[in-house]
Amino acid sequence: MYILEELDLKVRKIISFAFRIVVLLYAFIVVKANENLFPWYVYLGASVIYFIIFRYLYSKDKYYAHLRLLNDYAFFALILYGKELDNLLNLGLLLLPIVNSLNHSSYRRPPIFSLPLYIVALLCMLFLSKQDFDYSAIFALLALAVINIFSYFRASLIRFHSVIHGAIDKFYEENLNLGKTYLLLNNIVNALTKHEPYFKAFVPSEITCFKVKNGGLSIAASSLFITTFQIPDEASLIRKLRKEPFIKVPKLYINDAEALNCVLILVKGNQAQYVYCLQFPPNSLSFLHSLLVKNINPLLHKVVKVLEVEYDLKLQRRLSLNKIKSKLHYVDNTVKVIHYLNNKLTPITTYFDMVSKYDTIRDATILEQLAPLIESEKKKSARVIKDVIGRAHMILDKSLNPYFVEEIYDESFRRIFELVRGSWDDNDLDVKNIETSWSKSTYEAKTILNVDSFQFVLDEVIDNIKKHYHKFAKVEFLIIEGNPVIRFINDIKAPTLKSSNLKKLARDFNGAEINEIMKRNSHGTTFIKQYTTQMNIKTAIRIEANFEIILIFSVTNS
Amino acid sequence: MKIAVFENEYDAAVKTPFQAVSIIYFSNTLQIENFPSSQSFGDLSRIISYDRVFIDIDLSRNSEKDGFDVAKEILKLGYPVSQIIILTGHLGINSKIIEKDLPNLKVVTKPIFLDDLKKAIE
Repeated sequence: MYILEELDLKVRKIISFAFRIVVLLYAFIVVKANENLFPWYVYLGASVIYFIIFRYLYSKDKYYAHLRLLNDYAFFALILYGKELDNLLNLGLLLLPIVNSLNHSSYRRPPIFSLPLYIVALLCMLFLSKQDFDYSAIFALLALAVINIFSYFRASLIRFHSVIHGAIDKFYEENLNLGKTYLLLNNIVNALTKHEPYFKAFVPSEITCFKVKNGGLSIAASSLFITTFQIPDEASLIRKLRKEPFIKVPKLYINDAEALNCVLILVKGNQAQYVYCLQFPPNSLSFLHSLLVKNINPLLHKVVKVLEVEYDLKLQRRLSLNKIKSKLHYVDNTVKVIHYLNNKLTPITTYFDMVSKYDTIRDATILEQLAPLIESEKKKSARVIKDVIGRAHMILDKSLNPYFVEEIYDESFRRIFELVRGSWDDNDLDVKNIETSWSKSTYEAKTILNVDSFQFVLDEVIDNIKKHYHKFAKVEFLIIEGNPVIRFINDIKAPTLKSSNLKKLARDFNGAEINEIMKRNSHGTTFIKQYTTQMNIKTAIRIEANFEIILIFSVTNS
Repeated sequence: MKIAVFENEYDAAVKTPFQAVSIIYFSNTLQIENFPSSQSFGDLSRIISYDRVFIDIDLSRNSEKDGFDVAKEILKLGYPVSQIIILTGHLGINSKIIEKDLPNLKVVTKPIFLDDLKKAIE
């Protein structure tokens, strides 16, 4: 059930209760204003019994609604028994349920025309009037019924909006549903055709969304699985749609079958234009289609937004995959080069092997046979070395190096702060342990950075903290000697803190010679050092009472 | 001793170490024959006449079979496992041998060192 419907049901329940209070007050006035057949306590007792029965039937559904109706009219019959119906006050009591019929409190929505209600009201009138029944009252009842039908249609229009917007809510509630926009169109079609029988007369049975591409149409999403489609003269249709709100197309082909009753609508997105094809069943009321198009238009814009967000995500994913692919190529290339080097190095190792063995061999025959081999291998080795160096340079090519920060640009310290806080929080570290003494002007200042690479650095630093911290971890945003500084601090168990390995790590990390840290097997620190160096961020590891990683930034503008 | 070497870069990288080992350790008695592709050997049932078989994993592009296939074929013919030696410049070859459902074959890695080659032949 959609939220609006749920709210509507609750309001109807409250109104139903309030309606009975109104009925009781109205009945009191009727009793006071008329001469009564029964003594006052009969009316009082009837009122109490009426209300008790109503309370019993109140929260019940299905046929209990009819029992509530009978309870109402039985009470009215008793109140009005022996009284004239020729004045508005008395007649009004009988008409109250008809006036209130749209507030029917059942779980099921009120029907377009409730025959039992009008029959019971009529029978009650007949009973109370006896021979004097004025048959013209039937016209009054009919007029009220027509007004109620009008109100019903107005309420249906509101419900129509609730249903189609509920379809979008459902799409997001179910899942992120990436790449499945067709489900959204399915939900809309299902909501329109299954939930409300009266909508069937004018709602589409299928919705297809096309993207305008190179003057033609290509499928973006559809409630129907489409393999082939044929729309006559797409280019001129698109041109026409740019001038008109919608076009009726007598015939087009979807999945090699004729689609006869279609309406095309053009919707402008941020990135492209889209054409919706609403396919109606043959018996659809076509004079209502223009009204439907007007109503459904904002929804179709929303679907286009979903499509465009999805397209953006797809594009991002492709970019990321391309980036990863270039790294994979680098790794693949490195493996190939190492294999190549292993093959090419054989003449060199054989040459040196033979030279060293030559010095130890005393057998003249062997030496005589070995000498020409050594000579030829020496020449071969000299040729090979050039090749080997060339290939080694290929691996060191900067542009292929996965550690290479491709692009650096100005980024504010506010963004840096947000990135750090986000990562800290994402890793379930306590955000209360983030302390900052950066001023407003520091946050507005900028430094050169690549956000992706900085995120990698943060991930490594925080991973390291999570792996090793014992009782506390903290991050401080400081200004030291005019430079913005981020200090990550965590405690480590005493034996690890004092270990020579950790001290060596700090020495290598803090040393000016980047090769020292590159030699290490700890990829995390290598990663941090490589990326921060390229982004001009100075780094240091300090080990005293705690373990600290310090990032020192330079400001590009103040 | 008769040795078959399935290797497509024989002259450039492998010939000299075999010759050197033959001269230094086997009184130049090794009869080494090179086959750059699987089909250049011809009928594989003749392999039984060789005392050792060295197989490079990457044979030439024209080769119908790679080194692993050649080793499998030879083993099917009942050639002793201990007399087959894989010759390779690839890293992690031992796990690849297991992946290919081959038994624990001897391996000589490139660049070739004379003592390693001598041990493999012995």
